[in-house]
Amino acid sequence: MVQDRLQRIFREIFSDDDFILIDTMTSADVPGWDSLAHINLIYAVEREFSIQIADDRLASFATVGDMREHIEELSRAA
Amino acid sequence: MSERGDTAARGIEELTARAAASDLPSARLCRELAVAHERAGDPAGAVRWSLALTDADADLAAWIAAAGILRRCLPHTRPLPRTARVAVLGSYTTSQFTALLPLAAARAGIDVSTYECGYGQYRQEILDPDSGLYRFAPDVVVLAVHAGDVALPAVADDPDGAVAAEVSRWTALWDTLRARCGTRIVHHAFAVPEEMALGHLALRTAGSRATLLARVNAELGRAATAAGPAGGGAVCLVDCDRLAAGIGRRIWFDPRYWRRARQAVALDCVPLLARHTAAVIGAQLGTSRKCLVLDLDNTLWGGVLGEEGLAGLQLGEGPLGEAFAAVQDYALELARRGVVLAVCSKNNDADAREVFEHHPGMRLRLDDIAMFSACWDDKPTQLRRIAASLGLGLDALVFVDDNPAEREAVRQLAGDVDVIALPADPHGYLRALADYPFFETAALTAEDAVRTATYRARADLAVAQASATSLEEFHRSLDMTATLVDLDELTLPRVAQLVGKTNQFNLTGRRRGAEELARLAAEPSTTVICVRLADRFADHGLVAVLIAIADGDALAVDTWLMSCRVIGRTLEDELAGLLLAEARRRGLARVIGHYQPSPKNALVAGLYERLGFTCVDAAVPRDTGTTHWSRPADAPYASPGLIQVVAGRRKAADHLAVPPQEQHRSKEEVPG
Repeated sequence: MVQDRLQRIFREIFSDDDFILIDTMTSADVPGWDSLAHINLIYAVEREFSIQIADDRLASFATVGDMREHIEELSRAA
Repeated sequence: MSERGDTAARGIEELTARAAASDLPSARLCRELAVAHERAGDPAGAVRWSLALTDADADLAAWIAAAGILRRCLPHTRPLPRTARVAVLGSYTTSQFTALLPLAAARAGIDVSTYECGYGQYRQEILDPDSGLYRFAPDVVVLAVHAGDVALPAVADDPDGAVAAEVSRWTALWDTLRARCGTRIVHHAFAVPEEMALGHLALRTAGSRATLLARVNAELGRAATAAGPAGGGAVCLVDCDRLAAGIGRRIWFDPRYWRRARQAVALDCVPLLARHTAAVIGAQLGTSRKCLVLDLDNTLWGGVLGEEGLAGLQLGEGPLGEAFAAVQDYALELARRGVVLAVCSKNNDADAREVFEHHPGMRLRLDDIAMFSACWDDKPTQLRRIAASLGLGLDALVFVDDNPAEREAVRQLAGDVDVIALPADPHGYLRALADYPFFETAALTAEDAVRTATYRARADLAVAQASATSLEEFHRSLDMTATLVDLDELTLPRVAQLVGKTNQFNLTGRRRGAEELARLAAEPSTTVICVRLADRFADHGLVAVLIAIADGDALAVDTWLMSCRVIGRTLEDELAGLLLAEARRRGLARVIGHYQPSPKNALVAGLYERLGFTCVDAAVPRDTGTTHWSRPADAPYASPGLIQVVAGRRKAADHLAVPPQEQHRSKEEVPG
């Protein structure tokens, strides 16, 4: 479920509806995933899941899987 | 069709059904539809749904997605009415704003290409004549600046000086921009921050930052109005403080994203800011909508007239009645600022008009409606008729109706008409109308307040023309009156304007300035006939000028011209009669005149011949094509008599035996 919603966010931010989100992806694997896109992603994620990602975690996700797990963690806590 | 195409088509069908079932499809649903249309190879559909998305909830991610779809699909669809090069100069991270502006602008009918200055580099870019900004050659510069970039202290010792210094800092940038590249400017006026250490004392502290910021905004407004030619809208503001207050200042500014990425406008508010900026650019470039077309039953009043009858309508009294009255009041305010009002209803015409004439709760009167269309034709057909009668394109119309089926019919069959979706609850109607941003205008003129009257005259004329069986009957039905007035200090500016600008109905093309006209008119050998024309629909003002000079035994026509708006109404035939009468009064034998061809006056090449003049040229010179004409002053002449000719002032009455009549007053039209 988190995976589907996260994938939709990636599809929107990168305006690419064929985008398939894979846990092992890093920002280097996704064309256009620069600091601006990252802010847009974080913002959209916070809105979509009604969570707040802490400032010190913003740049801490090595892979998409890390980000997904953190979202699930915060969602459970909420 | 391929399997994928087939699936896409089924997807579109299902999504369209879902969209039709909701009053206002969500941004997410609009995006899905745009994606589905793009996949199915239908760029026009993809663009349509991308633009529909901008009317839905302002969801940043959905907007970013739609902006991408638009960028890919717009080149493969019908071009938008305007194109513009827009430079965004920001004091904060404006990349999202710049990315979303083309989507918002397309919704306003403008195909925008953008330039964004480096982060916070707006001042350097403006001051450096070799900057990328000037190489880009913008049509419009958006100054996307925010309150954090305003140099005001928490409390100023010299409030007036602080405001003046801050305002001139910005207007100096405007002046440099306009001097260097003649661009239009859209300045984001400052949203006043909510935090206030002074508390409520701030409001009565002249030097408080909040007070100063509000004054800076107001002074920028004054300076913007003074910049450039009157009514030109060279500099316009976006009232960000109003947008911030409307959505909530605590939402407008998000401190986390300010510190994370220097977003001075919360990312969820950027779509709103882009939308309103686009509306203001649209006003500057002339793509704003001009006419609000109103449904009647359950839009202007509660209930269905054909079922409940006049007495059963909810209007004016009670909570619901007040909601409908509020909608009417708002429509009246729009009319006062220049939006033309029309009615489009499925009703019996007489019954619908009776409500306007007799219901005590009605705020709108028939006089406020430029084109009243109540009949049983479908609404797309009625809207086409309304547009044609008003002389407007469908893309000038905005249709408002409580009935989703009617709205959908208009979207599908008259797609250029903009449609405002009303919510189910009438208490939300006013909000829906007020949130519609595309009536924006760049400046107010005196004409705005009476625009509906002008358009009503035009529409009535079109209806009269359609119902008259012959042209003569039509002309007779107009009750036209031509009033003869002198050339004096009151009429001279208008006469000089006509002489300077009239192209089509202008026999000699002589352009004389006001002074020269006055000198010429003062000569005893000169006769000047100026004519105002009025009919039962409108006073057209001073529309015709005839200058003739006694020369030997002839009265020679020096200048004969008429405003293009009264061409074809037999006024020229009456003027010929006056000319012959004036020759007889002076004891002259004939009237002579010539036709001097120009690129635009072919209309009157045959005028003298039609009026019974004889060509006196042995041969028409090939180089100029000028023809000369003559007519005996005492040869019988019968004018059509479709216009009543009266004298307006004493001097004219001296030599033309017609009774005086009071002057009509109206704004003069620009001659054609």
